[in-house]
Amino acid sequence: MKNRLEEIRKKHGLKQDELAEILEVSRQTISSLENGKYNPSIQLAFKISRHFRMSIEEIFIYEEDENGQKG
Amino acid sequence: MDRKVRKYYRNKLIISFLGYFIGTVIFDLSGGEDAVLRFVTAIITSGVLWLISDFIEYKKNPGLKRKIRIEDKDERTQLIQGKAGVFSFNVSVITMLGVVVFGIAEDNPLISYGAAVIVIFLIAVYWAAVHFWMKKV
Repeated sequence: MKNRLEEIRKKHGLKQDELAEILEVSRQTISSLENGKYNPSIQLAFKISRHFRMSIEEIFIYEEDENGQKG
Repeated sequence: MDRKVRKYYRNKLIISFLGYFIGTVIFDLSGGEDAVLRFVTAIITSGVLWLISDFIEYKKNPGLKRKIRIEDKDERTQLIQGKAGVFSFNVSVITMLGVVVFGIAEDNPLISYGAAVIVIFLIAVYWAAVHFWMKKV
């Protein structure tokens, strides 16, 4: 699953550790999310979307791969 | 892991060993001979040093307690710990199966049966834990 977290975070003038502090996760979690290495739980996705006052779909891009599997 | 939290855990490890060592030395220097009492003294010394170091660390870094709590319940950390746990379990079982084979090759029933019992115990605990969490989650 792709996301626009890095772009949105920078637009809001936040550093990774500042966003991590707000969301109560580690800085590495933010980094992994931005690199697409890690997909957040639904709870964290809601936390992120609420913080930036955006919908989850505006931040996280849901896509299917060639095998029809969702990711 | 956050730099300060990593330092905290590293210091804790050092203090644990140091406390154990100091406790043992104090016990031996005061003429103690009982092995159980020596162990208890070492653990208590270690615990006291833990409490003192916690007090100093939290005083120096007021935000540290919160950082440790965040790191502990961080969802990515928990996922990694889960994966690491399963990997460690598999390696442990394979290693113990190797010991069973070694015991058979050496014609030593104590080693082979002992290792087999540990393998069965490990798998039983794993399945009990899986069933417990299946019902919970």
